Amino acid sequence: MIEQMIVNGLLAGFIYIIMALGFTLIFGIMRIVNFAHGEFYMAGAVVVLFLFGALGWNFFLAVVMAGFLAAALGIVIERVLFRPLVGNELPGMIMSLAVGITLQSIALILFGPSEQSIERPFSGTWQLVNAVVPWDRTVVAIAALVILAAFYLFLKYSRLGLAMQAVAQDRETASLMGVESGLIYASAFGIACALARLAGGLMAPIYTIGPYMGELPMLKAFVVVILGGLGSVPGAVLGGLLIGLSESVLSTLFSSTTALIASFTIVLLIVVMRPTGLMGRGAP
Amino acid sequence: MKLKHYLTFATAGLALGLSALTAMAADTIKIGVIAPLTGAGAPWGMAAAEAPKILAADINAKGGLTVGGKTYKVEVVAYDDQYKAAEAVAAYNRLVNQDGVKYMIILSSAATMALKQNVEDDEVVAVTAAYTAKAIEPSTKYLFRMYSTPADYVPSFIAWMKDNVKEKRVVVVNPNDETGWDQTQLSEKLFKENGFEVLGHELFERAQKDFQPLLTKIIAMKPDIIELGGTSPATAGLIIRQARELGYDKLFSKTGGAGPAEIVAGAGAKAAEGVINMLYADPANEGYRRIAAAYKASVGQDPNEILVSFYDGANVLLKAIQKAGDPSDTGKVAAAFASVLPMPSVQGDQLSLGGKAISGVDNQIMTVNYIGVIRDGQPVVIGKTK
Repeated sequence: MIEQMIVNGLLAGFIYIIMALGFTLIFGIMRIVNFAHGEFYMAGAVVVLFLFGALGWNFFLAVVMAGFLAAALGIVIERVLFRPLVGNELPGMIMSLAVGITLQSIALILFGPSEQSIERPFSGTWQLVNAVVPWDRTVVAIAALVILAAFYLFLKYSRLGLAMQAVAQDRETASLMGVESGLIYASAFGIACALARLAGGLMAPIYTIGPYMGELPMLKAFVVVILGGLGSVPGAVLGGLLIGLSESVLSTLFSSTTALIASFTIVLLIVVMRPTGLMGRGAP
Repeated sequence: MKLKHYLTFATAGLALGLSALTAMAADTIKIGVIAPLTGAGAPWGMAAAEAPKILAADINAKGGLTVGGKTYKVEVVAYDDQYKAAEAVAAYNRLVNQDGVKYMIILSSAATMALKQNVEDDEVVAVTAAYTAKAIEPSTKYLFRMYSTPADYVPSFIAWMKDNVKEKRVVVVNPNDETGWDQTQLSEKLFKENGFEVLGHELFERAQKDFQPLLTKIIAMKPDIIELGGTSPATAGLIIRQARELGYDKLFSKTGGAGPAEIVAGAGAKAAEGVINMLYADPANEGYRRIAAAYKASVGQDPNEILVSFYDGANVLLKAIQKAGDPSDTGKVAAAFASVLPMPSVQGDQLSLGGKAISGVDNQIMTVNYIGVIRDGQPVVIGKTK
């Protein structure tokens, strides 16, 4: 049972990481807490529902298309709605709530309130030591690791990634060095939206799809980044794995309600004892 | 002088318009609906909202509902409570204070428990789908339950399982709320009384979608029946699928909250094969097929079978209003339930008034439920509950 608990925790943790990466990226660069992140996750699942479920596209092509569409939509939303609010945390947060409710309502009108399911592109299981690992979740975990590695390499070695880090560290100094902050904001928002939609698209065949499916993952992403540190990419990875594993162990040994309470107790303790999170930095 | 003349004219016109509107409102019987129209409970909530609308459309198409020699149009006003008591209270206040509603359908146990005192104080006649036994007490006058509760039909359901199912080791799984707690308590007791070995019970939050940790724990108990009780059908589908992935190849049963189509959609036909579940409707019944087709024409999706119970509940309510002879006297309407029942359901079964054995008062419409099994992705009726 211990092996199964670890496997369950890691599989959940990987998807939390992908969700949290985009969330923390937007905060790190734009200082905006994007509460619409869960709705971008939902939108990714809806795109996959349509392209893969209804039109019969290849699953990975549908997921990638969901990512591209999200990036394009994210760039437009950032430019029109969020750019004027960069650095203003409260108005940015309210705007993100408005965007989230709007996206939810659009999905409700287009697809109705019922939860929908699509055929799984991968089925069956494989054995890892004494744990049973479903193939569909294995694919999600591998995809999450690939996305995480690509994201790390992008931040570490690409000009745009380095510029993003520079803006996150000090927007004014980066601007003096010739970094155009507008491009960075649009790119960060587009990438964050793409990450959320990739997560939603990957999870679409595993869970049910509905207008409100993004609420819980959004909550989890929030918990993860508070634990890891708002704006910290390594923090999101650490936080995602810790929350995934703690939930798995506590849900198995006690109950899912206990696991949920524990997640928020951890957040409360972190906020009180280390407000910047495990690997976060203070506000500039 | 001219201005004064115009003002007098305008005031008279406004007064006439208002009196015409009042007259129109007086010729309408409004039925309020408080139900989750969004989220995992939406298939039930949409059925709660659409069933009275289908009935109202039928009645209005024939010219309206004749009460005491006067004809009334029937109008349905539905609000979303998101399965939350606080939202239900807001919806109730809006229905009573703004929309002038005196008749109501309430879906969830949480909403009913939050509103039951208001319903009695405001003398609003309400029909509830709440499973919880606590919803109706001996002093209850205006609140009626629209169908038999698990306490009524689960005994015969589990007795049927005793005779027809060879597996005996049960784990009970339910949502962590009023409905789930009651269902857990009841089914554990009945399984034990019928010779089943209850290995334990697990509760989960309604928004939960990842059940692997919970199922890891359950599978370690080595059950041969997982009873899903009041779990919403879409969630039940997810649980079944995830359990099959973890290697569980034994039986699932579901004594409450029917919805075989959603179970199959969530689990897949292969994983859902053999699931024994309670059905509100016989999918082959002509009466049910008619209202299900009307639902699909309106919503664009197949209904949850609970549609039939909401249709019958609304029908009994309107018949009671007719019998009372005065829609403004809700006390008379509440008393008229006893004289309109028994009456036939839309499926042709007999509806009667009962519930005294459990609640201490006959404020419950007693219905017939079916026992179904999923075969090749379709529910097949294999028995009836008493």
